[in-house]
Amino acid sequence: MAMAQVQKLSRKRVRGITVQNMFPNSQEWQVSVLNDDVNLASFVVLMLMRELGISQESATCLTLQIDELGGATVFTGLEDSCQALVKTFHSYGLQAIMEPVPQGAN
Amino acid sequence: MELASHNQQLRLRLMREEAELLSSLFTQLSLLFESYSEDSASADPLFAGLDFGGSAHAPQDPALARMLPEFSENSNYAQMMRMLYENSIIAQHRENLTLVMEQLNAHLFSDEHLQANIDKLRKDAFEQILPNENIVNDEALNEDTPYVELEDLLTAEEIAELKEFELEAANEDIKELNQLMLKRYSAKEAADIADLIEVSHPITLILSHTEALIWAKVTNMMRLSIAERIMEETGQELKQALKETAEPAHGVVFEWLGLFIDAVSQALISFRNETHIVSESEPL
Repeated sequence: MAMAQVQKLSRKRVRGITVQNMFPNSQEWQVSVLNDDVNLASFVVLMLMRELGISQESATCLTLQIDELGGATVFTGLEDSCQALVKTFHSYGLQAIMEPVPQGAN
Repeated sequence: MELASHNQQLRLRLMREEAELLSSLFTQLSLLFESYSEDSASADPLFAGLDFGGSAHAPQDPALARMLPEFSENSNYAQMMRMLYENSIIAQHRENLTLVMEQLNAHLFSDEHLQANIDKLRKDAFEQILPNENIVNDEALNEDTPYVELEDLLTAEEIAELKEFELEAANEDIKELNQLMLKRYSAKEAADIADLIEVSHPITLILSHTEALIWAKVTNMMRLSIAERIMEETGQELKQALKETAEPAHGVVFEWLGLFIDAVSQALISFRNETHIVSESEPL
């Protein structure tokens, strides 16, 4: 699948809901999953499907993106939800990090 | 190892050697966590037992560092998160480990299970050697080994050789079996193979999907730490390290765990596709 298509799909997923609409004064955070050479693709797909509630196709897109670009943003939201999600990802043994959404990214 | 779907559950069959290997690997992992949480535990006994808090720095051991990664690229923020959540992540890892070990050890170390399996194997062995039931009398079945009658005729070394030869023959059977599984086979052949697997894989675990996920998580942890150990030993990237490692057995275990995780993940993904209808237009 073309990379532009992958990115478009995942952007649609990530931008499904924005914190800025609900809490205009709060900082928006994002969770990224980083690539590593040990975890298996099928395991990552399963984890994304379960924890983000997305379909196999979307999860496969994100996994491809993680594999080819070295990482992918999988979730955007409030700081607390991001912390909980990163904690869950770590319990699967995945390398996930969170950071504030860079200004002007939208 | 055989994994099959069974009434909305997963059925995992293990050879005794496989189960013992898994059990000892899980024990090692649990010891690793135990020693780490003892080292880093808060000095205050009030907080020592809580799933709250954590140490200020990433663990020295690369395997532990892999299982307890940083929360952020910003080191101050990562340290803050580690001090908040590290213990709760360790607690979760250990909970998962305990569940898996309990399930496995209940099968490995139950006397009745063991005795039943030995009896069954012995009976089958006699039936294969002597198809005519009348020749096998009860006394012969109760003997400790099938070699007792030969003891008068052969020396101990010769008997040992004989046993070794049989072991080799059994290994060859298993190889043949693996090759058979790769091609298509008829219904009768499939039934024969299923019977063989049933005899050679005496440990059967029935896993619900949640349990299967925990098994995948724990074996993945195991796999991560083995990978870190191999990379530490050779100082190479994973692919190169697997070729160069002084102990190829580690590489074999690593690949074997990979096959298991892949199979469980595929099974759970297809189950999820069958039962969960995901609407793409819904927000997360």
